[in-house]
Amino acid sequence: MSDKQIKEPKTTLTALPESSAPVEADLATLSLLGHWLEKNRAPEQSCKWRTLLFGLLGLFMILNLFFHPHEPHFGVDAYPFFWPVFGLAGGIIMIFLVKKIIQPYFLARSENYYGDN
Amino acid sequence: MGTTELFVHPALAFIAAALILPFLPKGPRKVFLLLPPLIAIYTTFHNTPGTHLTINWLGQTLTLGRLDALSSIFVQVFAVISLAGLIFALHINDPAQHIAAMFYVAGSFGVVLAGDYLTVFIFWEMMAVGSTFLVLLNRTRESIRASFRYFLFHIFGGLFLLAGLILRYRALGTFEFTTALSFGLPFEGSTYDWLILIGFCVNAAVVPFHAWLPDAYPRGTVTGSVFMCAFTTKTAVYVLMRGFYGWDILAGAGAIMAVYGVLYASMENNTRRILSYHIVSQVGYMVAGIGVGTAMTLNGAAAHAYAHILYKGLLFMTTGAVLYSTGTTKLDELGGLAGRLPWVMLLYMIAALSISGFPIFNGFISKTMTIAGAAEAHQTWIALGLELAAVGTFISVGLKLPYFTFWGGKPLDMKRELKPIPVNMYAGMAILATFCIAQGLYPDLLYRYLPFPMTEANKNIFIPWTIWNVLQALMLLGFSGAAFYLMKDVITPHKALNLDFDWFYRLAGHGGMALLFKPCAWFDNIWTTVYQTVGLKLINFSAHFTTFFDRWIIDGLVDNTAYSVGGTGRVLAILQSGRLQQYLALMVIFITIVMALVWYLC
Repeated sequence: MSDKQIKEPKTTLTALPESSAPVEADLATLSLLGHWLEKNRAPEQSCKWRTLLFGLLGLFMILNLFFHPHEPHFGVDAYPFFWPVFGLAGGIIMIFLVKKIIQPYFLARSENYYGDN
Repeated sequence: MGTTELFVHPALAFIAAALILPFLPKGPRKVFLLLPPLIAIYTTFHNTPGTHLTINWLGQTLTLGRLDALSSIFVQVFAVISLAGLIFALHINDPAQHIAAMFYVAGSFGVVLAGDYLTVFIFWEMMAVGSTFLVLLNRTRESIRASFRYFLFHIFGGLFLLAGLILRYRALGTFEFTTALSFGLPFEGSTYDWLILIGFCVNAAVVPFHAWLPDAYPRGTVTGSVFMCAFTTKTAVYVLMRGFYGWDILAGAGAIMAVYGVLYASMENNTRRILSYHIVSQVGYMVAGIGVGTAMTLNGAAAHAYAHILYKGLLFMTTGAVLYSTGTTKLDELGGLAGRLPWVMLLYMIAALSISGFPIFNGFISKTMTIAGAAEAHQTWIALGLELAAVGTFISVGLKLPYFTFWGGKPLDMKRELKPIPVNMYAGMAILATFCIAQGLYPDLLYRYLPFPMTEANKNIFIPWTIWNVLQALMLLGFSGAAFYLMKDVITPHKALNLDFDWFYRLAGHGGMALLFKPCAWFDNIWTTVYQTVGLKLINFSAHFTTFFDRWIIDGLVDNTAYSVGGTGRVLAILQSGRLQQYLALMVIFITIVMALVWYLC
């Protein structure tokens, strides 16, 4: 093994186990709100949240067919679905550019690059 | 008889408290801590508007208390956040941290109420010193180094301000703090205006003068960073509003800040650094509003400053609480805390939805005003940039940060040691959360204090709660959420340092050191050579001469004197034989010689 490989920082991110449903005994020690949050964040619940998200997005798009701005700020925002496209495309392009191109190729350095830590 | 005028400068309460605090025992100190912010809140509602506390100093008239519509809204929000911040910090048993915070807050009040540039400068520097200690007192190697860099950079900014105000005084003969346009100068401004503007832009974290902020704020103390996120950039926003509204360059700079901060935040791993980059972004909205310079955008900037101080304070409190409890702010080390820190998560989400401009929270009523104002002033690209920044804000602060801290990625881990969070920290967070929701639901709570009256007569009306505004916000944020959902694996944070403009600062710092060191080293080398070749020989010669002089002149003189005294003594000892006949014979010889001499000479 080369020196470079040895110096690679170890990540502490642990892989999500196959089933990460909380143990009942552990849940019993949590507060009421904590218990509710813990049950709802289990991977088994993700389908419910996804349905809720896409259901709401569909509802917003239907509403957008009936409601328009009185005075469009940018011209194109008078058309239906401008803001859904802007939010979705803007978000995806931004994340892709930043995380796949700008950070890895131009900006990322080791955590102790300046020797501050 | 008119009504009685009242003016108590809130900074005085904080300075007095900072001076008294070290002498108080622990118990009374905690009660006493809350006195200055309570006085500040009282003065907010009872001080009489106008010009107060004018003093003559070194031939100049300094105005310490200019209270008008613009300064009073900043005084009000500073008073609120100082109370919430000190309640949040009540459990700290380190008086030095409280004293630093008190001087820092006092400096902010001083700047906002100053009527002249000289007073601004004095309090400006007081803020720089106070806030430096809030980083330094974290007492880690990392924070000590960061505080030094922070201080150097603020001194650099302060020097621009000082140079500008001195040149301005030479040109105009006054230190009065008025807008750069009110002297009838060309729109572009004079050299001194630009110097002052750069000084202000350093504190407002305008790109590229912003990198001190994400360098220092994540390294401050848990409670200190709550103060820092509220005061430095917002006093800068205030002075920009007072002195430079309508400067076009600020509109563009603000939009760049808004997007730039968001881009960096979306790649960061450190929670407090994500929030720091979002300060740059959110202050960008305010700077853009100031640059556009209409009544609505200025109101929007002031409203957003108010709302931002509250939700950003809450964001730093909640992430600070996570740091306090878990000991880390790194997203790759966090995760799955929803069950064990549920209230922190709930309070965090209130702040996160506020900053994202979600309806019912205060960001919704302030952010939309600036964007609408920019669009109505036909600054379409500025407004679009601000909308894009809103997308990025929701993705990184509204989703990425809470998802990787509280929600997804890791199972419930009961073995992880969590330090219990003190009640006072929850109380501080709850106060700000209440304000965030109250202002969102009832915008007049904020709008009534805005500097420009919102009336039909002056065509300065903005109603946030319309069906379209709510639907537009929900669509924008909802589909940004969908983008996060689809790109979750891509945006997963990992350990890295992302280069920013501080790379150039450090380069300039190293360059400055090299400029200073290289001539010094060169001179030192020459001097060493000269010293070795000439100086040492001179010293050797001098040493030899001294030795010779000492041995042969000094020692010789002393020794020979001794020898002479000894010899004379021996002769005298021989003469003193104690025999009377010898003494008489000597006397006769002596008298004969004297008589012979007298006879001969006469």
